[in-house]
Amino acid sequence: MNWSSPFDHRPHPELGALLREALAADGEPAFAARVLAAAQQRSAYGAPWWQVLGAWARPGVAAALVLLAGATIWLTNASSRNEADTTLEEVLLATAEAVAPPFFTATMAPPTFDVVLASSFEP
Amino acid sequence: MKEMRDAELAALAQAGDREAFGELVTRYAASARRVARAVLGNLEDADDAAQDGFLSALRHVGRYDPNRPFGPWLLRIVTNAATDRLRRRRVRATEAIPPTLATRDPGPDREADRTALHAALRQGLAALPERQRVAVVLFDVEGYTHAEIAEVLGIPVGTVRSHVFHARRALRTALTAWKDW
Repeated sequence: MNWSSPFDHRPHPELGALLREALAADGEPAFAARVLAAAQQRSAYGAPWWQVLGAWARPGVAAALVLLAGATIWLTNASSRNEADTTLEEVLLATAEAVAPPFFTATMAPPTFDVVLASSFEP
Repeated sequence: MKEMRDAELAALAQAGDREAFGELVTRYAASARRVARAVLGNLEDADDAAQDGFLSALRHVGRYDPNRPFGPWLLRIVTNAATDRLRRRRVRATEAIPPTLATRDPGPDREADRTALHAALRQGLAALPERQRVAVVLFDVEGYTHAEIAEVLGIPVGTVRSHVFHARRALRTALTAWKDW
C-alpha cells in the first residue's frame, strides 16, 4: 500500500478502502428493519391519529349521554303539555345546571367518562 | 423517496412519515454502523449504538437545520450514542484478536491473508484514542471534510487535522508487515 504522507489533506483511497472492508458489517437490510421496528415499538413517530381520536372517545360518549338526557327531558315536557312552550335550548341549559357540577367548568382538562356518567345519574 | 434530498426526507420523517425515515436509515446505515464500530470495536455493541443514534435522531429531527448536510448531523448523534455506550458499559471496546492474526502469515491463501490484514487494521484502530479513530474513519472512509468532522466531533478543524495525521501514522506503524500489500 502506498501510504504517501500522513500530512496529506486528501482522503487516502487505499487506507479508506481497507478500513471500509475491516469495519464492514453484514445484514444491512436486517439492521434497517430492526431500527424501523424499534422506532415503531417506542412510538418515536408520535401518537397516530386513531390513538388521539380514541383518547376522546370516552368523554365524547359521556357528552352524548348528557345531550340524550336533555333531549329526553324536553320531549317528556313537550308531550306532557299541549303546547311546547319550552325550547330545547332552555332545557339543555337547565340540564347542564342540574347535571354539570362546578368542577366541570373549573378545569381545562376534559372530564373522564366515569365522572360525567356518575354526575348525570346523581339526583 | 429514493430521489428525494435528505432535508426533504427529514421534514417528512418529522411529520411522522415512516417511509421517509426508512429511506434515511437505508442511506446512512452503513456509515453509522462503521462509525459506531470504530468507536466501540464490538460489532453487536456498534449496531446497538447505531440504532440508538437513529432513534435519537428521529426524536430530535426537529432540531436539524435543513440548510446543512444531514450526514454530519446524524453521525454526530451516532458518535455520541456510541461514546455513551462505551462509557456506560466500561468495557474495552476491542475485538479479541489472536496474536497470530496480528502478524503476517505469508501463506498461499490470499483471502485468509486479507482477513488477517483486516483484523490487524481493526486492532491498530482500537489502539488509537477514540477521537482519532472517528476522525480517520470519517475522513478516509466516509469522505467528510475536516470542517464537517469538526462539526461531528465538536472540536476545532486544526484538531481534526492533527487527529487524522496521528491516526494515519499509527496505522501505518501497525501495518508495517503489510507494506507490500
